[in-house]
Order: sequence, then structure tokens, then C-alpha cells
Amino acid sequence: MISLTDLRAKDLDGFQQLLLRAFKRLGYSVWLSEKLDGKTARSILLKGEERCLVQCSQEKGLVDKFLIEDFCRDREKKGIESGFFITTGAITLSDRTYLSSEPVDFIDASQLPTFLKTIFGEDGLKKEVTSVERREFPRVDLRGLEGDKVLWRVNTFYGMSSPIKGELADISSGGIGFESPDEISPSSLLRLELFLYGSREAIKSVAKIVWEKPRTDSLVHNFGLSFFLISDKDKERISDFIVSQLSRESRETRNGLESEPEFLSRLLIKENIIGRTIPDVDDQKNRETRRMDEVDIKKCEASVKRFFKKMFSEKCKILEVSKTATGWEILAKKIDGWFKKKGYREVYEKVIYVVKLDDKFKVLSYSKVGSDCVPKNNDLITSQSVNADKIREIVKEVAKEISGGSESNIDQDILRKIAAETVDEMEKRKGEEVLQKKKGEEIEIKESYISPLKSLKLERSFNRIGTVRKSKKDIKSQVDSLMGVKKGRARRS
Amino acid sequence: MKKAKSNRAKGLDVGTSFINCAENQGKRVSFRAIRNSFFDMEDTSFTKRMLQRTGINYIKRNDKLFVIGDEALEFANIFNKEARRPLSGGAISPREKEALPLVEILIKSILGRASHKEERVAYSVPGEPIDTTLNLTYHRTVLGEALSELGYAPKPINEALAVVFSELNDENFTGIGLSFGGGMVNVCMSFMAAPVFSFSICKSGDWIDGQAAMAVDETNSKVCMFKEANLDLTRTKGLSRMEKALSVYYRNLTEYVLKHLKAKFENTKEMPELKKPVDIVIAGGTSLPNGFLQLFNCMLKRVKFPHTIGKVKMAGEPLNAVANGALISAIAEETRE
Repeated sequence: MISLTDLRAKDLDGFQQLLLRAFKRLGYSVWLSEKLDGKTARSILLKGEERCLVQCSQEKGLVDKFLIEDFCRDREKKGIESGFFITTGAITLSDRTYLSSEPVDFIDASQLPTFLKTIFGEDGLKKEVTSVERREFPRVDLRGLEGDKVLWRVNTFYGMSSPIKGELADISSGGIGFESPDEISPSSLLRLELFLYGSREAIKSVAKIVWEKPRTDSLVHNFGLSFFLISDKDKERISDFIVSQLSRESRETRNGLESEPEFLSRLLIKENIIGRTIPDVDDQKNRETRRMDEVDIKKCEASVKRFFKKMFSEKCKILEVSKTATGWEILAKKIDGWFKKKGYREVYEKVIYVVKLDDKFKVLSYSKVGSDCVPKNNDLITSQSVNADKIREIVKEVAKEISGGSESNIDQDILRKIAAETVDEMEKRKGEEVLQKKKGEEIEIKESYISPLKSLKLERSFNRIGTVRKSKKDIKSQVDSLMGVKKGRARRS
Repeated sequence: MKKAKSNRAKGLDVGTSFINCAENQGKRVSFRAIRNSFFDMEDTSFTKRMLQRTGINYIKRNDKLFVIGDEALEFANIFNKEARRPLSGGAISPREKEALPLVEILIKSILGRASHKEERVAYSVPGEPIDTTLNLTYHRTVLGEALSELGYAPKPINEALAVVFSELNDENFTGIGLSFGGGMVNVCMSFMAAPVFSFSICKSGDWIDGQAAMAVDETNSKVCMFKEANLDLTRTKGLSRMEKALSVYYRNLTEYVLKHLKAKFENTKEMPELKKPVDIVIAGGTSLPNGFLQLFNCMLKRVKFPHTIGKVKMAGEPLNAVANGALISAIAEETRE
């Protein structure tokens, strides 16, 4: 079990990262982080329109009143709506009263382990606290290396006639930096291939330009790319590569001083903030532009959602919106709303699409990410009917996994519209053959589903709960005595 | 056949703080307990996901999620609120409209369905309160009905009498049983397994928590957690404010209980002829802090009892004594039939 001592034993970086991961799970994204001193760090988090200032303080005793007041002042000065004051130390009663009068929530030593346990779970927290986070590895500068080179090759999904390539400037587990004389529009979604030291096996990923800086001394531009979609295997390869470079290099960027742009770019890559315009509160013009963009993005999203509902009878989730020269590119994830509506989590593998829209927000084309990335028309999908028995078994298995087998009952068949790709994914996962049959323009899957029986649903995980303890007591003699005493009493009376 | 059935009877202690079920498993008794508290949260996909991921027990009811058991207390502390209790002062709370369905679900979850038709279950009920008016008939009937619905043949048993059944076997079930629970203190004088008098006092652990919380300006839940984890009544020096407050109210409660016990002893007209000193056995979660027995003995010396008191002892398993006694009673009933 993770205790307060374990949390206190973490260095400030580790402690801050742990809390930020917790907040990410609560739906926040990290915008900016800064260290105030060796014990204190502050971050600005975003959740929709809401901004939140979070202070992480590594303390062992009582938290200094000054620290609390300074935090509240800073929040007010920055005009941030709410705050979280989190510490491994103890907050006095008077300071609690003070914090309660501000729009600030606080978590101190008495609540911290429980708070984290609630978010990560007992085992999850243990992993979070004890595991070495590979994605926290620093960026490795590859410029000026003799001999072996790391090569990159990128292509956009649409619009670029031939790929551009070059040598890598730096790499971290979150993304890469490179120089190129070509112009790539910011926020573009790119196909990225990396060749580590002449390796023929490329690391493939979908990446996104997160920053671009023209160099004043030459015609080349510096680009920062963040990995957007990357396989676990490739992530491992990159992490291993970084580890090997770290031992080779004496340069230490993690704890050393960094210039502000370096720090910011590293942070943006690490925190996976991609394509977000960083609002400048003092720049009215910028703010207006941003607001206009937001309106357009909303229209874009609505258009894609309508499209998905019409095409698949399913909902979709918008992951990323980017403006291109000809219109909009949207990364959308199809979600299985039917099971969700029934109270289950989504069952099927999620499929991610890139949808292209024109400036009037009409769908031009779409394609599955990770396939051949060639624009395709709407007639990509053909109708299929799938062997019901196979699907029945798959759904049964999945639902059993969800419910622990305690609340499920197969009771009826349904016809469900589903994308062919989804079936393929399930096929791969189960390694089973699924019979396919064309049927006009519709895609239908006959399947049996697991319906939660109402009465059983209430009993979910209530089937004899509670802490069980076995006693050494053998009550047979007590029962015999009680019966004997009662009999004797009855005889006497 | 009958023997096999008799082993399947169950004992149930429906307390303000915990619901505890005792049953025979092989030759040993197995206890299954859950904290009788709940905490309500908005039914959002996030909270649901969070609860499912962390494996926390919850009930979805109307537009709310109810976290139950120990986790309810933890959640209450996180949100700096009070955990809610379906039982208040030993009986189903009239203030909580969710009380009855939640108690039913908790009982169902602890007890499970009857293993055979009309399986005997003895469930604890408090004695008549002497310092408040409480509708015990409603409480007793409602619990009985809930158990009948699960296929059991329910039989109520006085909580303190169950303590006697559990602990005073060697004294022919003669003596005084005291159960210091969460909401009440139950007292029963038993002679040869028959109750001579019984009563309850509506002040106990919760009352101590409430009074101490008021004194130190904390929530009841926090005081309760502190009490269960840290309180040592033998300590007299270097006490924190919370420890001091708890110590004062423990003393006050013990004195109050003994005063009423003495009065009842004196005023009972048909008292059987007791040839030996009367033993006292103490059970219940409120009696758990280290030094409680010494405190009780110390206060007992100040009260002049009309009859000699023999040994004063703690139950072997204070938290399980009521359920164990109820199980003994249920098995005896089932075997006799």
C-alpha cells in the first residue's frame, strides 16, 4: 500500500508529474508548469474554458502560511478562476479556514493518499509511484554527432506531392525536432518515419507540428513534432534509443538550466499539448482570432458528428481539428454508443479516421488512419452481414469481461450497423474467421447482445460483499449448553 | 438432513455502524461485515468510471450513485462532508428517505439468499430505549420483512442478550451483557438464558464523536476515524485536543450507562435469586479503544450495586459478539425444531 512516506520520498519532479497525471484523469490538460524552488511547483491546467492553478508542495511538517497566501495572491493576479493547493505537509486549521474562503480546494497529508488512491486505484497508484516513467526521459540533442545519423521522413496526409526528409535534430519520447527548408503548415497532421542509425525498419507514427521557428541566420525552419499515434513497440524503441544516448552524452537537460523556449517546447511535447493556440491574455487581437477559430472548429465538429451518425449510425469523438490550405482535417474516433447507452463501457476496438472537410464543412473524403492514407470516397464501406454465432461468442466474451460474468444474460438478437473495419479488428483480436456477405448498401451485423437484467444490475458486485474474517470459534458446545439450559428452565417451570 | 440444515442458520447484527453476519463454515464461524454507511454522489459518467475502476461498491438509484461501506467514510473525508447512515440511534433513520432501501441492499449483500427454504436467521434488535422515544416495532418489522423476502425465517433477538449467549456459556448464560455500539448502548440482564430486564441508551459511539467533533471543530467522520485508529484511554498526559475531548465523553457515557444499570437493577421487582456474583461482559465497537475496560472498572467502583459484581470482561471478539450470539440462538432454534 502506498503511504504518505512514499509520496514524500519522491523528488519534486516525480511528485508533480504524479499529480498532473491524476489531474489528467480528472479531465484536465496541462498548459504550463513552473518550479518555484526545490519544494514547490505550480501548473496551470485547462478543462474546457476553465483554468485552474495547481500548486504541488513537498513538505514534511506544517505548511508555511506565507506559501498559502502567496499561492492565493498568484492565482488572483493571473486571473485564474480556481485553484488546488496540494501538499504532503499539514495545513493548519486557520489556514484551512483561509483557503475555504478562496475559490481554492486543498488536499494535505491527511487526504492525499486517499485522493490519489481514489483516482488511480490501489494497484494503479502503486504502479504510478514506483514505476520509472520512460516518457519522462529528457530530450536528446543529436546535432553535431559524428558518424551515425538518425533520419526522418515526413509526408502530409493530403496535399504534399512527395515526402520531405532530413537528419534529426533532437528526440524525446514525446516527439522530435528537425530542420527543413520546406514549409509545412502549422498544426498539420503528418506521416512520420524515423530511421534510427541506418535501421531499415522505420518507426512509423502519425505526428503533428507543435511549433515552427524560422531561423534568422539561414533559410531553414526549425520544427517540433509531437507523436500523435505511435505503437507501444515503437515507443519502446525510442525510449531505448534515448537511454543509450543519455549514457553517451554528458549533457543533462532534465535538471539543468534551459532557456525559456527550450523549456516550453519540451513541455509542450511532453504534455502532449498539440495544436492548441496558447492564449495571450494581453493580446486582444489574438484573443479575437482564437475565438473565431473556436466557432469554426465547433461547426467542423458538428459536421463530422452528423456524418458519422448518418454513415455508421454511431457517434464519434473528435480528437483533433486542423485547418489546412483547402479546408479542414479532422481526426475522429468512432465510439460504440449503443453499449454505452446500456450502461456498459464501449465494447469494440475504436477506429480512428481522418475526415477532410471543405470550407463549408462538407465531408470531402475520409480514410482510416494507419491504412494507406490515400483519400477515399464515401463508397469505401460495403455492406456486410456477419455470422451471428461468431459475433455472439465474441460479444459474450467481452460482456463477461465487463461484468465479471455476474450480471449478463444473452437474451435477444439485434441487427446493428457497423463499419467493416470494426469487424476486422475483432477478427484480428479473436483470431477467428468471420463470414462476410454483401447486402446492398447497408452494413448490418447480426449479433446477440448482453442485456443487463434490471434486478441483477442492482446486485452488481453486491453478491455477498463485506470483509470476511474466519473465527477460531467452534460454537457447537455453546449451542448445546444453550439448549440444555433452556430445556432445564422449561422443566423447572 | 436436519443436522445439515441447522448448520446453515445465520446470525445478523444490524448495528448503527456495522452490519455483521455470522454463519457456520465447516466447524468454524465466519463473519462478514460492512460499515453501515453511505455517501451520495452525482451520477456522472466520470464518477461511475472512477468507482468502477477503483472497484468501489456503489448503488445507482434514481439520479444518484451511493458509495457504501468503508469507502463511504473515506469519500466523506475527501469531500469534507459527513457520511450518511441508514440507521440512526440504533433504528432505521426516519430522516433518511434512502435509509430503508439501502439497509435492505446492505443486508442482502452481506447475508445472501437463504440456502434453503425458511433458513433460520436471528437478527439483533435494540432493547426499549430509556432516554428517548423510538419506534422499535417499525424497525423490527421492516427488518423482518426484508429478511423474509430473501427466503429466511427471521427471529429478532435482543442485542445485549446475544452478547450473553456468545460470551457467558460457562456461567450458564447468567450475567449482564453490554453492547456499546455506534448509536446505542444495549444492556441485558440474563438469568439462565432468559432476559430479566433489558434496555437501551441512545448515546454511544456516535454521540461521543458528535460531542468531541463539536468541541474541536471537526467533522464527525474525522473524529470517528481518529477514534478507531488512534484512541488510547490509558494515556493521561500529552493528549491532543481531540484525545482530551474523546476521553471526557467516554467517561461521561460510561458513568451514564452505569447509573441507569444500577437504577434498573434496583427497580426490577421480579429479580431471580442470584446465588453467585453477577459477571459483566462488554462488547461493541465503542468499547474497542485501549483502556476502556479499566475506565469501566474505575467507574463501576464508584457505583454501589445492590448485588455483588463478579468478573468484568471484554468479549473475545467485541465486534463479532452480537452476530455470534445471534448465530448460536438461531442454530439452537433450528435444531430444536
